[in-house]
Amino acid sequence: MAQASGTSEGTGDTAPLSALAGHEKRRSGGVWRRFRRHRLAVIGSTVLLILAIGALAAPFIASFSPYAIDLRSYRTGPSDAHWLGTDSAGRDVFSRLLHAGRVSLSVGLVAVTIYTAIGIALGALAGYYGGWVDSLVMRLADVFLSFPSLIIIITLASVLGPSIYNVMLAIGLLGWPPIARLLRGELLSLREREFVLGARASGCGGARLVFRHLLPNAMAPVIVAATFGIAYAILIEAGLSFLGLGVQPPTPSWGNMLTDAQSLTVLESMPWLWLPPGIMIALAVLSINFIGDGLRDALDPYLQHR
Amino acid sequence: MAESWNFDRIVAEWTARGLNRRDLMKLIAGGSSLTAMMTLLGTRPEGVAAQEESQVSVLWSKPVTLNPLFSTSGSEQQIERLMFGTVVKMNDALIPTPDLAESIDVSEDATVYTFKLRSGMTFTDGTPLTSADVIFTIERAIDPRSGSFWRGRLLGIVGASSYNNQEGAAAGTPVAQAITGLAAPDDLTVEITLSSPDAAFLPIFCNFAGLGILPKHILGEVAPDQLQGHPFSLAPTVTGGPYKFVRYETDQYLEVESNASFAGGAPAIDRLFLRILTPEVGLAQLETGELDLMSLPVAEAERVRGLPNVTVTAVPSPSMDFLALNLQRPYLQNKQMRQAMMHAIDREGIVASVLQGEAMVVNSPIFGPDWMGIPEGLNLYEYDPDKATQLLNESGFDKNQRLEIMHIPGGNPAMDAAVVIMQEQLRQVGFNIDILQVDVTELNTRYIQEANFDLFYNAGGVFRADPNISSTYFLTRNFTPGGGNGSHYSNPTVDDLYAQGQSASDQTERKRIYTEVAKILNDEAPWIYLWSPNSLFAVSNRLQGFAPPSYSNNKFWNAETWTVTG
Amino acid sequence: MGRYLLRRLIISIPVLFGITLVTYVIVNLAPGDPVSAMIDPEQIANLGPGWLEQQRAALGLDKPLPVRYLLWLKEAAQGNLGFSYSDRQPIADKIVERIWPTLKLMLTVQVLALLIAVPIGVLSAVKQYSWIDYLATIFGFTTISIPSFFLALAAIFVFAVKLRWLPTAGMNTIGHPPSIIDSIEHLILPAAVLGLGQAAPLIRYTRSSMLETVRQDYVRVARAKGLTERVVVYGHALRNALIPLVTVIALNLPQLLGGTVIIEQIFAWPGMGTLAITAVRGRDYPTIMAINLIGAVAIVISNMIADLVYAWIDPRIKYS
Repeated sequence: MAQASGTSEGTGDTAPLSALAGHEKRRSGGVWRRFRRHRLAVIGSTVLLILAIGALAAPFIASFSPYAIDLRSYRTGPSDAHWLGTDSAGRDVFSRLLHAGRVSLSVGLVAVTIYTAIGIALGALAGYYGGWVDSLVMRLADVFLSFPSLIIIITLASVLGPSIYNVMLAIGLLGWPPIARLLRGELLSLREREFVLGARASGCGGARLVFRHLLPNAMAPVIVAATFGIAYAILIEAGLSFLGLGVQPPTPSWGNMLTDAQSLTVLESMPWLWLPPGIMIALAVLSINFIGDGLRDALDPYLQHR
Repeated sequence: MAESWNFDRIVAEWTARGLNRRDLMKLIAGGSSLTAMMTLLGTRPEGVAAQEESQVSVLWSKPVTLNPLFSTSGSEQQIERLMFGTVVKMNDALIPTPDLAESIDVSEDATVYTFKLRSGMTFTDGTPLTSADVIFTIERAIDPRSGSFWRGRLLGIVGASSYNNQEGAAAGTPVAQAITGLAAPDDLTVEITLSSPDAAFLPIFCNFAGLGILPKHILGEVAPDQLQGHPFSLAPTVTGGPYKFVRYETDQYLEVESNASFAGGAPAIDRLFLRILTPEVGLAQLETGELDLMSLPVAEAERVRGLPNVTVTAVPSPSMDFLALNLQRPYLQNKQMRQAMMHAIDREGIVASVLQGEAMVVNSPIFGPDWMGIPEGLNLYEYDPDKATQLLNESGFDKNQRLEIMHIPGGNPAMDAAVVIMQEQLRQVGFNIDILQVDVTELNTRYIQEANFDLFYNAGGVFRADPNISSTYFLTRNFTPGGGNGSHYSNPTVDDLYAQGQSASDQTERKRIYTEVAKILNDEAPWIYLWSPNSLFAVSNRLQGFAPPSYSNNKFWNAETWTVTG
Repeated sequence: MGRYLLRRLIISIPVLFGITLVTYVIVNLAPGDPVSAMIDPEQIANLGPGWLEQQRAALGLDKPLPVRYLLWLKEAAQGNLGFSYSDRQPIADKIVERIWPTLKLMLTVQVLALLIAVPIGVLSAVKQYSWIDYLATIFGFTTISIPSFFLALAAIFVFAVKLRWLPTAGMNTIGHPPSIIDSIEHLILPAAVLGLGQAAPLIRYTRSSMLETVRQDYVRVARAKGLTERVVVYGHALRNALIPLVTVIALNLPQLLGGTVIIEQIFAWPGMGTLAITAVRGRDYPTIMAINLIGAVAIVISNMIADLVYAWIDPRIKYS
């Protein structure tokens, strides 16, 4: 969910060569400032930070093991002993919620890291060299995009075993085409810009051109897309749990905690079973999306309030 | 930045942007009329509208085929019986009763079975249903070219194995064009001769829901190997049973209507809808009155009991939950380790919590019917984690050995909860054990073909119907893939005892023999016996005549006698 | 551009070939085969000797993988998609049966999403950082933050069970004669659940596209000419801002044909998604390949459209 067109820079107001160095410095100082002005993004960052700390500190905060069973406390509501009640196997919901955070957040992070890395590498190749390299990479992207992802993931789950690592791998291997296309699109339009022509004229070429000048300016939509991707991966994990392919029991994830609660009885009379994981997913996804939104506005100075 | 919530300020700003008050009003008007329309469109009929026709809806599962020769699932077979009619069917006490037949006659030596069909029976297109159709159906069932699994069940008929058997011809057996053991002396009589006496032939012939009779005048010209893919297999338009096929909307529902010309009397309920839904949506429809009957998951029972238009009935089911162990794996051949497992799991606790008391803990695969009762003298394997740990240590089992419980998730929430509890309780005692979730296909491959599993959490079977049912799973000659003994348990003493039990006729004697079997199986624990759950059904108050099956899983065993009130 | 298009089309063919080959291999790697899928473990004892092998031979599963793939390819190239392994019905018929419900649902979803997203997105852009913008942002993001299966069940619970405003599931009321109002009522919940999710990214797209367009020089010129803000924004800028949306819609095309498994299962909607997942679970190789092929063709076409629109918007992008 990135910008639709390649026109992210303004028209050629900048003086060609000498403006190059100053151009970059001004941008990096402004990014953080502009990000802070985006209120929702700031809120999102705070919330995410809290969630992340909760997840990391789970073993210390949680009073029970997420696997410990107490059959006498089967599906009981919140109480002093169990702050968020117990689930269908007599386990403490609060402890499971915290531990689930580790799993759900890391699935998103790892999967997105995998496909962003692949996407950047391939997209940079395509965007910079153009020509047949571009063609090849884009056709490869087409091939990967054409795989009906659900079918492939289900099949991969059967072949490799439905573990969470395979889920991350599957999302990671299939998710790179949009990133590659984004980066390639940006690079294609940036290539013809004045500042690039200027850099070339001053003797800058090849890898240096790519890394110092092209990539930093092209990365904005990629970063934004990757951020949204993390949120999306968290939701995909939930959907896969519904199909029995997500994180495997007894390991808790927000997705499979929510799936356990898929019944009218629970929906109506046992809110402690679905509200906590539901809220956690919503908060995490919302925060990450706000952060992405904020990043997008911050990294692109010309979209600010006039 | 504009932050005022004042309406006039908003309007002023909109105006400055070029939109005026009128546009704003239009927007609001549009929104409210949409809402009004929604509410009007709104009030849903309370359940099915009362019409002259009576309709009943039941929750169903997606079928693969509607042809009795090829149906391997119970949900298909139940409805096929209603559409096609069978010669004999099982009633709820698992006694073969005539269905399309008027009477059954068995010769003294149990080799000749004579079925007299009712007179005046016709198919739904008016063609008379005669013994020729029955013969035709059985021939196609046995014919190797059609690929029906019924062949295996009917090989005991004289001449069956050489019928159209091209492969047999290569081995020297002549190919027969007709089955000598099948005869139709007249239009209403069918005579089946077996090559050797078999008291179990009738139960096999009406296994679960029986063999639906196919119309010879429709399918006679179809080559046997084309039968399975023939459109008739998904749209059986001409049938001879109490209900007539109307339509099957793929993945949505099957509709059948009462067959007015059925010789046994047309069923009272005009139309049956078999709806394909997830259990959650099924429950929602139960509440709105759109659905009249469904099997109820235990966890929903309390809520459904509170619904005014629905009644919940519970009967002991004939099935059992168990963990089948793969005894071909050397590390699982350790009896003390298995007994440790039995002690490690809090079966009573799981029954009380997850199953809400709607189950009975069992300690062997023999626990019924009534004359058999629960065998005495069995080890009750009380929940005792300390004893389990001790037994495990004594057994010499390598605790580092990783074990997996194979399980199909999503089918039954109670089982999903139970497997997690069992895994954790086994871990507590020292087992290094995980859960392996698979789908049906992988399960069949691992369990039946490859024997590639450690433990398999399964539920099913009709153990309570007769103690001999358990022999399917424990006889040496029934090893998978040829039979049902997935554990590959083998004990010559047990084999002998089962044989004795099958040929004994005196019930007291049988009880004694099977108690012996139960004791051995209980002690050796080739399976971890868990519990026998009750079957719960949610029935809408307007449906009368539904009788929960106690010795089978066939909800529709008496469906043609149901009625509706109001 | 014409040569470019032609070249893309020609290159698509090996792409499709590659996709089908890889899919065939991966799908065959999954444990089990169509015959194992058909067995009910309860009934295994009754199946009789040799039945498994016989079934396999009947389906041609005893042949080696490359042979099977080439056989399939030969048929597919002639337009023959074959027969399903699970019920022996022609696959083309099955697909045609499913594609109409899927299209019906997904087109409604797309239209609904656009109807919601465009006005909100435009307003959001025009009043950036105002309360409308915040509300739209929060609304948009909230709807995509809730997993669809949960939203679906909650929607059924609230609107169908408790309020009785809408039907629970299915495409029409069973047992009643078909009617348009009935179909529409059944369409509302699934379309809404899916549509809200689709709307959110579209809102963001519209918003940022609108924001960019409004900064363009020609907009400044229009204002300088003295045209009212309303004419400038809604007359000139809006049209140009909406063009990139075409890219997005084009990229959504494959999903239009593919349906969504989860929503279809919950609402008992007999679409392509259910067909696909049933085929995968049943290892029904020909059906999987057929669905895959159709999806692949759709994606290749939609990517081409998206690339073309992309190039049209930004003339600086050159395709060699």
